[in-house]
Amino acid sequence: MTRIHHTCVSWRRRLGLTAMAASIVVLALGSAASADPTAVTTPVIPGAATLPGPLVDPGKPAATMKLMTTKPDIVKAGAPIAFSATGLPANSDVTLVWMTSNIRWMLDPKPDSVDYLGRKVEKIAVSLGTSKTDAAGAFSMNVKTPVDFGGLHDVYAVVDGQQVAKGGLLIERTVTMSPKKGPVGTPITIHVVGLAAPTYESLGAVLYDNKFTGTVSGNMTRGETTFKLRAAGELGAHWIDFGDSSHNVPYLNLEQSPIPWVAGLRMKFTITKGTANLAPKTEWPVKVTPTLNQRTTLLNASLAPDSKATAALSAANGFVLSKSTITAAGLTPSAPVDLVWSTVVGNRVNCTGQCWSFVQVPLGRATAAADGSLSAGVTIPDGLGGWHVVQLMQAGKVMAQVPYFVKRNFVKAPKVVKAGTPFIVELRGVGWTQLDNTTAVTYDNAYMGYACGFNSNGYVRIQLFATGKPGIHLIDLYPLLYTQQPAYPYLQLGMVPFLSYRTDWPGLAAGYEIPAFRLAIKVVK
Amino acid sequence: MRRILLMLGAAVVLSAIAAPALAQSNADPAKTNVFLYADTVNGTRPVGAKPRPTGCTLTNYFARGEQVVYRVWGSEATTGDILSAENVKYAYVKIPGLPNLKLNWGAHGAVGNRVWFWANAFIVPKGYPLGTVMTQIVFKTENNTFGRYDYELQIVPNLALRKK
Repeated sequence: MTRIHHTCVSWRRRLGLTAMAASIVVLALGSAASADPTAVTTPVIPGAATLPGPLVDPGKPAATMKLMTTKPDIVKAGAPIAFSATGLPANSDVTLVWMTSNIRWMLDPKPDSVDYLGRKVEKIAVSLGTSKTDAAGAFSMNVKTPVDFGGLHDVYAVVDGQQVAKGGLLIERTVTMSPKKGPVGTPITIHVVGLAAPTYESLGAVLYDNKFTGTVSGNMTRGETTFKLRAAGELGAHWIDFGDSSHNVPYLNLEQSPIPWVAGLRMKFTITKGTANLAPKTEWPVKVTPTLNQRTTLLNASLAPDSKATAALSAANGFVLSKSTITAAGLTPSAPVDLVWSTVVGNRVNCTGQCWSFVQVPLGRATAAADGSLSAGVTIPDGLGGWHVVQLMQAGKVMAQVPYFVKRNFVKAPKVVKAGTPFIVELRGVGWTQLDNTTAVTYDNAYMGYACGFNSNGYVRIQLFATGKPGIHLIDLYPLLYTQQPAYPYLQLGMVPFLSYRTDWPGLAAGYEIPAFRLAIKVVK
Repeated sequence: MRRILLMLGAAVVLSAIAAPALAQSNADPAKTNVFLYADTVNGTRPVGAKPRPTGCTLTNYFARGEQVVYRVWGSEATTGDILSAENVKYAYVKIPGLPNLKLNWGAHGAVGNRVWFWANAFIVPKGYPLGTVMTQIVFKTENNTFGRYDYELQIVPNLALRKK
């Protein structure tokens, strides 16, 4: 392995390099709100339902459309249902067409950031099967209700491309909770089926003893999700409301809305004596293969056009100060190589123009071997989290670059705090895009605010205050979609704890792995 | 030559400006000779559903048992005449699975504040399919011109207030 001359780079030179990077090498890539929406392909989410059938042409309405009986027509996903109709063309092949949707998250991935732009709903038709009408033009078919988005679904009997009969049903939203009792700090798993596709039926919002905890979606998982809270508070009964939310907080009088079927469900959890395991815990999202290649990295356009060099890192992600090995081939033989970390500096606060810029941080210097290869160790800088690139530069040109994702990590929090005194929770590796620049904070399941890591270069000190009776109090940090600076209108899920982040999070498609942190303090007199 | 090029350029620009307008006018002119406006309100006499707190409010969401009231206004494009009993041969709403709903011309509202329009109502049958129903409003005038308006209803379950 080639020795890195990191320590040989004097502070003057390093400062000079950084300053030069900041002043000259800075790329004029703006942060203005000029969205270029990209509907990102949903990655394969482990355990998520797939389309209930093959995509088909929904057909055209027949001149005289009959009614198709659907029994029952208010059902739970997976329940048996029967369709029947009469008066249809005799002895004809019938396709049972289920109208549903595909939903994709919308992002604006740019070299210097990623903006969150909501979601895109595409109406689609799938076949639930085929049958045949009898000599009298009657047909019937029994199927299982698809595990699919909840709410209303149109169903058509299609003969020769014509919708000859129309049925419909409502998939009810179901919510289950487990366990129903346990000591303070007990993880509570809530499973939801039947979040719908239309905006006002697509989210759930959670109240814990009337305190807003966060919001839940199921866009990537066809309306199904499983998320966790922890039991907080004193001994006895506590109430968890899973209600509907149009955009982020609960919609409290849905019974009077046009969509009363998504009105909330209330569940009781009883806190018993004792204490659950309260050691700090990091809960990562599910592992997926990202579908979006353009992340927050420098574009390939920055590469020297005549370079044929290739490079790879021994690990594609890690925490700040992680060690990794970069290997390369095709470099200019026996010539010096500058190893450079590409990141940004700036912030979004009161941003009205160019508010952050790329800078290059030296990682060290090496020399390519006589065959143009390189193998060198690098240490990931203690800075912003998220997607970066390690660049290999020769004679001022970027010969190759490799993306690296810096994960955020919990650093420190006190275990015992005197009531009525402040305390601090520390994180590192918080990023700067709208997907990863903040973390949402709840105290005993009550959303209290967010903390941002951009201006502090990824290092976050959350200023908290010990309240409540002596005993255990819970602090949970959740991913949050930052929808300010730039702000786009009518976005769902902005600025609130995103409880279903493990399986439905726009950043998953772009390789952003943002965890929740489960912390606890003991408040004493 | 320069002048020809300028004219050519102007023509290109004009055609580019005109193109969107032409693109919007995608219907056959012969079929757009009747203009219709339609809406629906909830009737005050539902059968099999609880009356809403306020009647005659604009909505296209109806529960089974509720009363769907169509209200339609129209005019003839060529003459500008308001469509009324004097110049309309027939007017109805075609609803999948149900008999055509004849529209009637009449005055509505309190005395002194009456408004004339085409209207009629139907009760959503108990077993009517849930979901989207595309209805068609059809007019034929004495001048043998036609107007058609596709109007979407959402049929929703008749849920009692849920017990939490």
